[in-house]
Amino acid sequence: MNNTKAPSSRGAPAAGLIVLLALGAGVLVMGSGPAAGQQAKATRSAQVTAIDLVIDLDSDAWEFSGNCKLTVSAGHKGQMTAPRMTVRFNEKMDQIVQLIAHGVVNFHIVTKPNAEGVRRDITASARQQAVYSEPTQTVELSGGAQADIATVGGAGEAAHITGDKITANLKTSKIFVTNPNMKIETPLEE
Amino acid sequence: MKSGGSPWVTYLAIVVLMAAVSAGVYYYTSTRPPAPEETALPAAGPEQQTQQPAKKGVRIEGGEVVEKDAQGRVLWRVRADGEITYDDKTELLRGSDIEFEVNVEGQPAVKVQARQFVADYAGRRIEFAEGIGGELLDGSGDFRVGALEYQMSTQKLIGSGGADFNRGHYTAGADRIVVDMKNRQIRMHGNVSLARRQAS
Repeated sequence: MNNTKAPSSRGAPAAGLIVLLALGAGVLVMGSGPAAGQQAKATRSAQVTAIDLVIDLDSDAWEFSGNCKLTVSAGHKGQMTAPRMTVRFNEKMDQIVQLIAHGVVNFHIVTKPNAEGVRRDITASARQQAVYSEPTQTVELSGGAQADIATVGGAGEAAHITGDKITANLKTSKIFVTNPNMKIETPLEE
Repeated sequence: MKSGGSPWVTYLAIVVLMAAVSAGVYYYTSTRPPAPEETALPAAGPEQQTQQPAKKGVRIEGGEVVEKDAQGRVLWRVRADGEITYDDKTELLRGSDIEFEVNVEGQPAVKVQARQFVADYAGRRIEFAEGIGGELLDGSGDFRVGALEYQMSTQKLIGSGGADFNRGHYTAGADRIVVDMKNRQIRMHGNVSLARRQAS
């Protein structure tokens, strides 16, 4: 069988090398490689749902509250939930510049397939807040941030990461962790 | 037999008579004052239109009703392309095909269009129905609702029966909307959803 898992803390066999190399610099990079950013251009969309919305016409801040959910898709499919979200638009009102989720934030995304066709399933959370930027397609979770990363289909490495801040780049399918503490599980060669 | 006179004399008399009548009609119509515009309002007599609303600070001129505050600043104004009537017993002002303007600090802030309009002076509220749409006059957005009410005391517009607020390329939908231009806020409640409108 090839599904023997070898848990390791701050260490991993060859399959987790990319993680280890970045770890020394205090920043973790884990993703599906540059090819992921070269996918055919997909339609990008973002939708926010909630119970209530208050729009301040002077500051142009749109504040959502009650079971807030952000759904983004652009080849990937991501969802973020929080008790409260504040959305800011650009001047032309044709793009969400920033979305800040306040309180306990949960985030889930299935990344675009990389060059090898591998998709990652990322489930992350933070106790404080998360910031989504549509222009850069990044989600930055802060305050007790943690993420579980698995390969869709079950094969390949899986990781549990905690850190001060976790940034997921949805465009490149990479995750950056500041001051990381991580555990990787990976299948061993027979 | 010889006739009593030349026919030319008779003709001349007729022409002079017609000229005199025409001059008289012209003089009468040009010096008569024009009819008051209030007569264009069909269902209520001029006395009803001016007296009862005047007690409430409402002035009617033709198809327009204006309500002002104690300082003389316009609070709201309604213009009707269709008929507009006032019933002094029920204190209801009704209009059709109207354009309603909410003023804040005396300045126009929101414009609403609807097919039906009923102002209830006793209840201090105005109801709109059918084909309701509104526009924030500072250009910050527009909205569509199933039903709409204006509260005279708070100067808020409260929409229900499904509401869409459009700003730029985005539309926010909800069950209800409150347009509160006094506090420069739009509030939406129930099943709120924000999405970018597809390019047409």
